[in-house]
Amino acid sequence: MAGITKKISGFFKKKSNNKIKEEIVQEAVQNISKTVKKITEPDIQVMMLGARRVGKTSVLASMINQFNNVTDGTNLILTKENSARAIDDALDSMKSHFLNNPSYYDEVRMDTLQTPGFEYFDLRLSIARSVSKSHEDTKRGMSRIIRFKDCAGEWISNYTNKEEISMEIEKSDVIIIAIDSVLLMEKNRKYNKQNAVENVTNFIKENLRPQEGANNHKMVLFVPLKCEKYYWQDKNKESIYYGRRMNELNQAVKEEYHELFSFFQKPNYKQYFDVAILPILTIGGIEFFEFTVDKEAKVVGSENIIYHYTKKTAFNPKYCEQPLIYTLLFEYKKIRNEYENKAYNKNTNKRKITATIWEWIQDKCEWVKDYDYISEMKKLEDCIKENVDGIEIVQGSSIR
Amino acid sequence: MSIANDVDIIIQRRNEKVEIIRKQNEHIEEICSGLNKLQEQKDKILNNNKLKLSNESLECIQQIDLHSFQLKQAKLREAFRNIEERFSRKTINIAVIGGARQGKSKLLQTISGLSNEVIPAFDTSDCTGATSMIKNVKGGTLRADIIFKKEVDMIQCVQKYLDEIIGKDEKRISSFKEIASLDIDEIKGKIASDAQIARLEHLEKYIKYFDEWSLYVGKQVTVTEPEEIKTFVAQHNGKSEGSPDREDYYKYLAVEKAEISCEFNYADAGKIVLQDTIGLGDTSLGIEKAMLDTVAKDSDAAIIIKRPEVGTGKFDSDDYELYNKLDKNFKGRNMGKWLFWLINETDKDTIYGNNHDRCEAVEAKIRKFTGLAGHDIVNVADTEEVNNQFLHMVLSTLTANMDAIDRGLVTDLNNMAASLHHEYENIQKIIQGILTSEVKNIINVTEFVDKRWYSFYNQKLMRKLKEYRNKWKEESGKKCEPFQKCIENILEDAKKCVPDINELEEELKGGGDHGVTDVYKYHLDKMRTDFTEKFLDIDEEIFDKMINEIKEDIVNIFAEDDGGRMKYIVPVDENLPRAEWLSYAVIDQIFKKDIYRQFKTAFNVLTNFKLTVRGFLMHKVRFCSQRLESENNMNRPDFLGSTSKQANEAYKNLYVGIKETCEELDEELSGIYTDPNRIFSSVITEFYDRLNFSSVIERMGAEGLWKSLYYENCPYVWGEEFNDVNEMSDIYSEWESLKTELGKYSKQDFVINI
Repeated sequence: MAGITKKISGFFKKKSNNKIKEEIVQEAVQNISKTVKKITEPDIQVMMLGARRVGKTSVLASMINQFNNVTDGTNLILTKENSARAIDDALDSMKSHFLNNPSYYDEVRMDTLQTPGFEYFDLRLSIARSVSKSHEDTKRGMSRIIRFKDCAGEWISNYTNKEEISMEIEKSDVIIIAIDSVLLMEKNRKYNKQNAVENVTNFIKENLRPQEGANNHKMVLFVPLKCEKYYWQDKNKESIYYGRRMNELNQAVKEEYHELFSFFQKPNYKQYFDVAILPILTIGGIEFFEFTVDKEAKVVGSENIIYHYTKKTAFNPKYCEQPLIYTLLFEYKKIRNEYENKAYNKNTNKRKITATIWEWIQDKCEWVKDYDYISEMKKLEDCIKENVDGIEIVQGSSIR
Repeated sequence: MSIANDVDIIIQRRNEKVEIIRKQNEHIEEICSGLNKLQEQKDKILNNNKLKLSNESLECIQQIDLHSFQLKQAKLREAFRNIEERFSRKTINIAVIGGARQGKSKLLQTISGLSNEVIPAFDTSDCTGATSMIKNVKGGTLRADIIFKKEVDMIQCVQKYLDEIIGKDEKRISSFKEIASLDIDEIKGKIASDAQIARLEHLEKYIKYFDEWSLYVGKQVTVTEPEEIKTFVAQHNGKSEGSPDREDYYKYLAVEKAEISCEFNYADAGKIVLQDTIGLGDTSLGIEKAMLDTVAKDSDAAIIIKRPEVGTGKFDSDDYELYNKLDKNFKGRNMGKWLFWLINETDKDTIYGNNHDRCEAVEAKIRKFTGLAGHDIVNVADTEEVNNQFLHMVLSTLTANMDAIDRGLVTDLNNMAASLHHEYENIQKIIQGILTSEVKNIINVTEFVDKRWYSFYNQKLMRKLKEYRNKWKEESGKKCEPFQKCIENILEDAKKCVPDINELEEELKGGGDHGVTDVYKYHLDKMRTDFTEKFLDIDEEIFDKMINEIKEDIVNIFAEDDGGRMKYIVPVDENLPRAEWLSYAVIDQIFKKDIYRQFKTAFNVLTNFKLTVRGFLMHKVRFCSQRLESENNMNRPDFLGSTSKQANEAYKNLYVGIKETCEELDEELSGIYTDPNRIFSSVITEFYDRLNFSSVIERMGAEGLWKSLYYENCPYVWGEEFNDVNEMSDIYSEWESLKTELGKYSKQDFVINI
């Protein structure tokens, strides 16, 4: 880095405009600092809330698996930054259910053992040089780190270090609330307590201070997982639920988390929160079948939740990439605003020459630049789903 | 078991009931004796000019008609006597009836094995003189006990002929011996019409042969020789008129009845008695009445015999008339259990010729009657046909039906008892009317009621009713828990409709693919029908019960001490379902006056209310269970692989089918669980409104109407206080105690329970 700085300085040595020189150097230094900073702080931090065993690891696995397929029309590449064995195991486990040609209605026994989970997991978002999107062929330079932090229900209700928690929330751009749809929708929501609704609600209300802090504009995503049964009911013309089941699921989320929705929709807070509901099909080819507990039982253990194969017995998750796409689009706005602040004169709205020159340098050196991210992430708008299958942007304009 | 054994059992069961019948009769007599005082009091009042009773009271007193009551009581007493006599008998009695010369006596001969000497059945003219009762005695020898009428009976009998022939009371007989000295020519001269000539011939026999028959009057003789028996029961010896061997007999004119015992040809006949009757159409007086009396009092069953004439015989107006008469007289006695019809088929060798065709034509008509226990075409002279075919049919049918027959008798008796009780109740109501109208003359009722009104009406009766209404208003937004629980239980248990997988495997082991499809389809259809059937009884199991509870709650509000206290006006009958008090007490009695019609309507609407969800439920159930119909079962698997795999596939499909049906139904029905409570709340609110807000027709407000009701009934509602506070007139207290005395007995005291 020092060598590059020297080269650039040398390049402009003979130029008379010292001010331009200084700005360019500053730009370079900032970029270098950012790279260093990334080692300790990611670009985008996502806090994942939800009860134990709701499926946060599995959804992350499906998300990564789906993302690169769905974003085929862009040069964006997502790679695992650190190896999280749990994520890989989760994906393998999900796929393994379909290895032995199972039949429709065959029972599926899910693993009752708890996975080790993850404390945090980083994904690297890079820009490919070409549309082949080879991982080895990405542009050099700054990439974006997206960090997922798992906060299980027990942790958020048992915190003793409030400062630490406040910091975590403050750093988070996006909060994903993972919801087990089966617990939400079955038996008149009898077992929905196991989604840790109260814990999550209290945690957010007590720790989010949108009017304080710098990183105060956040996106909250309510993500019901394991929606397969309700999705297929919605699509089945012979079912009484045809065409309405996913909307009912959407409505159930709003009712069960009504306190949170009210919190986000307060007149003073509304501007700080973008809120969306994103139901996803974690596996696709397996759906909930029944509980095997007495009707008097107040809780249901995972060993008593039975699943079976759907008609299409294949691993075909659906909408799993949407939380990530929503996250990136939310970030896209931020990045674009930052870029425009840097690249354009606030008063005249004219492009700064330093920005132009710096970008010329980056192109020449085949370094990735901010504008690359902006242009590629904008394409994600074509990948977004909205107002279909229970997906709804409840409030906020960052995503649209 | 043999017919004879069955007959023994029936007789024993009947005998066991005799004591109960006797006691019930005595009990009713005791109840009715209470009314003797009533007649005394009625007479006392009407004969006392000094008493200043209201016109209303006097009208009520004059309405008391003990005569009608006593007539009914007498009829009931007689009915009890008859049934006691019937059940005390040691035999089952069968009457044989029909026109003259149809074959009745011949039939009896064939059954009993007796000859013309004992049961005259000659081919010539009418031969039966007196009616015989033929009793089957196993191992017994022939014996006839002839019972003769008394002198007074003979006088009555001859007097009837005189009244019939020359006119009522034209000639009165004052003594028995006077019969012999009646002038037949004088009577001939006064004959009213030619139609009475046949009657005159009968009368002539009584007069002319007085010496022959009068010797036996009032006596009883026992005869064992057939030749001798004939002389008492037959009119002649069977030889044609004009024949030198012809002998005529006249002792039968004095015979009350002839009881003949012998062993029947049919070995398994048991303890039965056959009652012979005089042929209908015989010109003797009282034949029809005698026949009906025989059937009514002395018989448990009857056989009508008809012999269609060759060529012309048909089911004619006489036959219809006979059947209709029986139907009219024995309507309440289940005639279809004990009346038989025998169509007498004669051979070509007899003087009647072969009438087979006519028999079939008559049978075709008879077959249409519903009030028959059986019928057959039988040659009454043929032992085999009569005993092994016809008699066997009659006895086996009768023994099977006897319980029903006896129940019919008891029902008849109870109907008469209920009718008597109705008269009894009417008398009580009249007395109540007297008391009600007189009470105003004795005390200041208005002051009495007004003093208590606020605390009674506002703080008790209407407050309780309002609280009840409000309670239901609160409930109206909530789910009807019994209904919801019932549906949830049905849905939970629905999986039990799925057949066991091992059972499926066993069935599938039977065939190839076609068999597999059939097995699956069979179980799918069965599962669907078993499932839908579970919903059929919800109305009765849930809502009828809830409505009954509401009605009982209303009874509590209006009847009890902390509410309307109406049980003191008309008591709650502990022998009847509590909710019925609203009908027999409130609607029928308390609100019977026209000014209370709005209140009556309110109670009528409530008591007649019924909630049914069956139609709606079935619609939803059928809609959700469409996937269980084999035509709609699109997911039916291919059933490939081993039997075990096929069974597993079939089981899975059935299980998932019923499960998905239940889930959809749960969803569909979840919206209706609040509806029943809403409906009940509306009904109670409507009820409350009608009782609290007057209609535009009445100027008096609703409260005014209530007050009026309590003015009338205050001596009962606040009986003790009333009696303490005020002095009552002697008459009033006498009537009051009489009413109390009579009021001790309900309908249950009148009817018999066996």
